[in-house]
Amino acid sequence: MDLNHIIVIVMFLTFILLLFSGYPISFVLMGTAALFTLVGYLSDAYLSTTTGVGFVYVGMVVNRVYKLMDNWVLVAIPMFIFMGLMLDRSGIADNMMRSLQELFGKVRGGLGVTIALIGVILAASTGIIGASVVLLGLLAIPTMLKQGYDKSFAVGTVAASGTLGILIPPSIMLVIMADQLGLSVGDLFMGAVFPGLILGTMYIVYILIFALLYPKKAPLSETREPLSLLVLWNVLKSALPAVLLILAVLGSIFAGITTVTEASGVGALGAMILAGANKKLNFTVIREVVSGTFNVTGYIFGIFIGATCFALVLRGLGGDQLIENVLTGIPLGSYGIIFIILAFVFLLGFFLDWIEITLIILPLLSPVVAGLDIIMPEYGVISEPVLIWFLVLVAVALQTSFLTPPVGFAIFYLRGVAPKEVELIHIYKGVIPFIVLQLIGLTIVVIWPELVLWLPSVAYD
Amino acid sequence: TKEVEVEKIVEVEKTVESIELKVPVAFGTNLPSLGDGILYIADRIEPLSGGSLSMTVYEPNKLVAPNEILDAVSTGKVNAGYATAGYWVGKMPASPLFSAVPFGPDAAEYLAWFYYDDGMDLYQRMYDDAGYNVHVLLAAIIPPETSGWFADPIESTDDLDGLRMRFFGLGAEVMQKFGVQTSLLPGGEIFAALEKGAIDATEFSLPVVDQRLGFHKLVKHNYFPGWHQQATTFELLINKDVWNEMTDQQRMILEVITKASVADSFAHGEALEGVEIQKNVTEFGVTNHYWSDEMLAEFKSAWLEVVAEKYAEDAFFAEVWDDFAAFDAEYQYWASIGYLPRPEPPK
Amino acid sequence: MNDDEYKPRISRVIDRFITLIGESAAWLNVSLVTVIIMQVVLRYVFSKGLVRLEELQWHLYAIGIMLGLSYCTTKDSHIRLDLFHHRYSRRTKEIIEIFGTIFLLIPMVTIVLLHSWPFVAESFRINEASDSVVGLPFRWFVKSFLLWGFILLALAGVSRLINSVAFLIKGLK
Ligand code: NA
Ligand code: NA
Repeated sequence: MDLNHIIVIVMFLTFILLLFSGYPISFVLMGTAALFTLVGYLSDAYLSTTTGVGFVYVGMVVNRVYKLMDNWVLVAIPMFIFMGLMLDRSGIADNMMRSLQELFGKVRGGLGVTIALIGVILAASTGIIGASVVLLGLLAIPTMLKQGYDKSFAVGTVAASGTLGILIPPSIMLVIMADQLGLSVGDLFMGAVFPGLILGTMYIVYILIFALLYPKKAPLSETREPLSLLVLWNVLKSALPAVLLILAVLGSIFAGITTVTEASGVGALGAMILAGANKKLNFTVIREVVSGTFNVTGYIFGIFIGATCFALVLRGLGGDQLIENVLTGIPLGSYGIIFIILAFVFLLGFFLDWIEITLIILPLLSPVVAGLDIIMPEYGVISEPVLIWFLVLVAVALQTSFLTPPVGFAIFYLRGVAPKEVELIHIYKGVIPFIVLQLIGLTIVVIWPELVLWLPSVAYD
Repeated sequence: TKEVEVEKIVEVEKTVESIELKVPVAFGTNLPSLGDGILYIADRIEPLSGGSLSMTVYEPNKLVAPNEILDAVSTGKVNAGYATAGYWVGKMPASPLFSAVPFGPDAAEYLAWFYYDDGMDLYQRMYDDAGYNVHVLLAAIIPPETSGWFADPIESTDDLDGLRMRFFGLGAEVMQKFGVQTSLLPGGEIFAALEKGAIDATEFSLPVVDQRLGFHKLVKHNYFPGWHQQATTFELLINKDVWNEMTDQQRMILEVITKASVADSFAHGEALEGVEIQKNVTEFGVTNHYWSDEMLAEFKSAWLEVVAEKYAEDAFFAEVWDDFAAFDAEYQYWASIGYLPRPEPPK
Repeated sequence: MNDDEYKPRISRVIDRFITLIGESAAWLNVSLVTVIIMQVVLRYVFSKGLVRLEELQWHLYAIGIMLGLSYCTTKDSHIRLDLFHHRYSRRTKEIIEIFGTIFLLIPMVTIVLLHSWPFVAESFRINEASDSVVGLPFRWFVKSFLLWGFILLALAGVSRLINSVAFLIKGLK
């Protein structure tokens, strides 16, 4: 093994080790990058490697950070956070959740199912993972805990449901993947629809079964009344405004009336209007919402910036090559290679986020996969059926990366917005069943490629 | 004599010292013609130079984003980069004139101006005067792009009014004169925007590239000729300190291999189009349109308005424009008398 | 571990300064909503051009994310892997802060500062405008927030460092 590849592995291990110090993750990423810039430089000088990593090379972080600033798509993140916080602070979210609780609280696990359904709807609306997890976290967790749900179960449901956003289109991740491989975003969007819905359905079935098996961890609402017209009317009255707002935001994106960014701004304004109608729109509330938004946005982008530093140095040291060498050296058949690749993506997902995996791994893997001995003749309308199928597989596998510790973005987001009594350990425990479900979903899509390929093959005729 | 010997030894050592060019690119190398031109160089430079030069290509955003390539090369963060000059319009208003000129030259005339008139000198001077520490080499040129994809036929400029369209470069300003709201989405985001109706129409690149992105699945009217980009060039930027430290041999290898790459990219682009453009019609139900004489005349007069504005705003733009216009005036006579007329466009 | 009696005066001043900037910059989110709504109205009611408004949106967002870095540091809201961290003693936590700040935070912040100065200065020198021919002028203005953001982050880090050292010294007494 080349010396620089050993350095890459040590860099990875150092990062993981430093994470456990509890120093902020964004700064651990930055610091590891700086440290291994020095290591790369010294190893070029004294150990005759040729990484080219050094003070000048690492200056590219400036260009990369600027690229995060110059990104119109990501503008939607603060806006969706604003919308969520405003719905929360103005009591609207609470009203809505309470109504839903009255409506569904009579079914075992009904509230959990509601959350999963909202997760699917949110997924179909934003494609911005941070936004949907944060929104669900703010709206749902307090309500679930109030009804007496088990902390881990509640948090797991929210984390997994919110994560669906990168799979169910529209999805920024799919856009980036298509861009990386020069494939049609539309084919990929269509391809991801059924796998996304399958995962959503599996979550719901799991929630219902869990609630039946452990009634104490998913109790019924105590305040439940028999379903009468009056109850229904009250539910409508308190839930309708927020539901309409969310539907308006989603609908306008789906119908192609607005872009995601525009819809996010409209959603933020709509939340303010609802707060006004609820007589909660005063200076204090607005100030709380804006500083809350600023704060959440700040730490999310802290990690983005840390990750971009880390990836730059990792790449300079030859991290890409190392991965390529490992994968091309696998002496297995087509499905064996696909299995190894997916296992690899799953493992990387513990430590890297989807952006890095998508940017680092995909370009290396696509030639390998396109060259595999898998033929899917009946989907001739799609230009590269095997690659589309493979990308959706990776997309499903990447769902897990949000939930797997130590670096799972859904975990981080929830950590930021969940009530204080929810500890990290609750989150870790809560996401495990959903990771298992995701892996089962992945297996299903491996076995039946038509789940991916049928829709794009008929969508445009 | 001892000094001469020392110099010789240094010279020998210098030729032995190999340079790896790390090249971030502006377009994915999976895109035929538009992006894969650099691979011609990357695949051949090491054997050609006997190992004294080698090249590693970094896909867009892997090291830096496309619009940061100039800065990265100039400051030496990477020693080379592959892009197109039109990307630097925010830094140097004249830069689009070196990548594609609306109603401008085809590849033959453009290359004549670059290589045997003042084109390359002005190109290099633009970077020097703006304070960029780069040496520029012309590295690829591609055939005409399509003029755009529309949901409905465009009968007159009135049909353009209010359209939301993705459009690149100076042509975008022309379209704006007709009430088009232009935006500049990256290649990978166009399909999604078109599908969701965030834009109504788009242009991107050559027919073969557009086909990869699948626009034909959404909108069926493809317009020609690409008046906004009859020929588009790509540049290999090399950090000037690196360039200056190279041996004469290394520099000559780069000059020759980029020239070979220019020929190869043009031949490759031309070779691809015939088949693909038929496929659009026969397999995907696309209608290929040719702009009417009236429409082309309207586009052209709007373009001349844009030029007049830029001309007044930026002195270097004016200088380049004058230089090219003078060359063009001579060349047009030759072009009109030296060639058989092109085949009639379909009506 | 931020507001306590051990906190030296200098740290208090820096933290108050950063908090003030953060609390003010937070209102950019309201401007952002306004600009997006303006664009939506212009586009759907008046069918007007919008590249400049689109750019204004990410300018506001970019300023927000860059100024947010230091604010989150001062507020101690950057995400930590607190699997073990919350069980450590206060003393251990402060020692981790000191080592982390010196060996992890400061080196990269220094690198970014040294490189972002020429990056911004260059943009200012050529009076860089938008990459889009129909975009906003003065690109160096928004680029400069890369520099401001990291200067403030450096300040926040130093304040943090002083605070932790002060705790250890006073805590020993
Ligand atoms: Na989505
Ligand atoms: Na993970």
